Amino acid sequence: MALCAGALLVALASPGPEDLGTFAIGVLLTVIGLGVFLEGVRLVLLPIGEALGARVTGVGSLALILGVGVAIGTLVTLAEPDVRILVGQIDRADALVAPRWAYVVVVAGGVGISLALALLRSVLNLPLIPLMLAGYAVIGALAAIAPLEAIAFAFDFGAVTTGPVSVPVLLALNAGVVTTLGGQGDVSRTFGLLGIASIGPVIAILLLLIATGGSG
Amino acid sequence: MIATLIDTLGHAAVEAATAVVPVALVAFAFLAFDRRSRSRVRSSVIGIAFAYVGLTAFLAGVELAFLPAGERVAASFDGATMWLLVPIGFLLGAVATIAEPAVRVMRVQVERVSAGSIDGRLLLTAIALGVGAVVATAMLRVLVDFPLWWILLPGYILVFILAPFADRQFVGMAFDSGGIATGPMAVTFILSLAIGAAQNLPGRDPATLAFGMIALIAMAPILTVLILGVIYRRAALTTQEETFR
Repeated sequence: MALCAGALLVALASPGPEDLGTFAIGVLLTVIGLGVFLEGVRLVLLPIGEALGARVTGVGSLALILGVGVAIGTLVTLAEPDVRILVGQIDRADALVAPRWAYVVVVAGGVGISLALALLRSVLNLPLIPLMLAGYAVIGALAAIAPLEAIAFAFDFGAVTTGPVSVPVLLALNAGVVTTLGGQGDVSRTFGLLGIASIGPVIAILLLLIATGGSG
Repeated sequence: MIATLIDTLGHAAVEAATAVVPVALVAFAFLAFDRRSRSRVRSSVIGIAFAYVGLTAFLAGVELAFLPAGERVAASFDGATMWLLVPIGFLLGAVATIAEPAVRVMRVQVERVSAGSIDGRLLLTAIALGVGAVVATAMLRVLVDFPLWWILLPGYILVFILAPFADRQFVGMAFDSGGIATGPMAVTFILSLAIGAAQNLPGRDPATLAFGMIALIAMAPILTVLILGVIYRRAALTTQEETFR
């Protein structure tokens, strides 16, 4: 992929050698950086995710499940690189209507809340599709009253939150929950978690953009 | 060049800190309270260090290479040749998807879940073509300027129509697969291209036109897997009928 970008760049933009050097360094940093970062995340968060998932069902307190969901969802989104990059892109397009950190915090909070709901669904074994329909209905209602470009941003954030950091941790968390419950229910309880979790940030960003009322 | 490098690294380091520090705090709080995890302290410290250094490098690298590259490439087209971005977008989307490790993981999953009756290569090709098509459409949107929901709404409606007809395991997998194609490549380079293109064309607002691309890229694999799920379920049902005849 980097080769493609590099080839295109050279072919079309005819950059000077200095730019090419920067590009090469950048690519190196990106590729190595991502690998190292993901390894680090794996070392730290995965065991915690699983352990939490197991402990949480043991205690059997709904409040605890919700609390863990919010905490992990928020944390994992704060660590998600693509979220930061997307905010940066919005900045580059001169379309920010709130400070950058506001976007990040709102998205993280959105994921936290919807992860809590997703965990609840897993534990209580509620059906997936009605929940998702309800979620998308809310999104649809909000989208109707939101400023025009808000929809694009909101859905982009929703897509971006299920990234290389969140996916393994959330699945580990859910795996912990499901195995502790004695493997009740079918495999479809493990999946769909990410689908629900990505609804939260969309709603959150829509609310943020509705609240700040319009483009920059 | 060195100045830019240090400057970018500096910003990246700060941003990375806001991402990693909360994780670190919670990780250590958890370790402090949970006696069974004591042995994990060392790997956690290494993990946090890796995560911080890695994220700083990644964010800096993206800022140095992919974001400007996207803008520069887009800037080198003029109004007449901009349409080339549509086929280029298709190629980039397809290539990025094939290169995405998460897609390969999904392929293994699908092969396992369908007990081999669904060919992983077919899945990979389908998803890659789907993403390519979507990126091309997104570029077209920048050029031609039509609203996002023209594509997004029918797409999601199709998703909810197909979902009940697909094999149940595929439904969950489909929704989970939305995130796999929206990797760093898409968010950085391809989106940059779109933003750059929008900024270079008169009267196009990048905010409205270029964004939403990621959402579309996320939708494509969902539809693809769902369609496969429908096919799989119908094939399974047909086989059942034949067995009982």
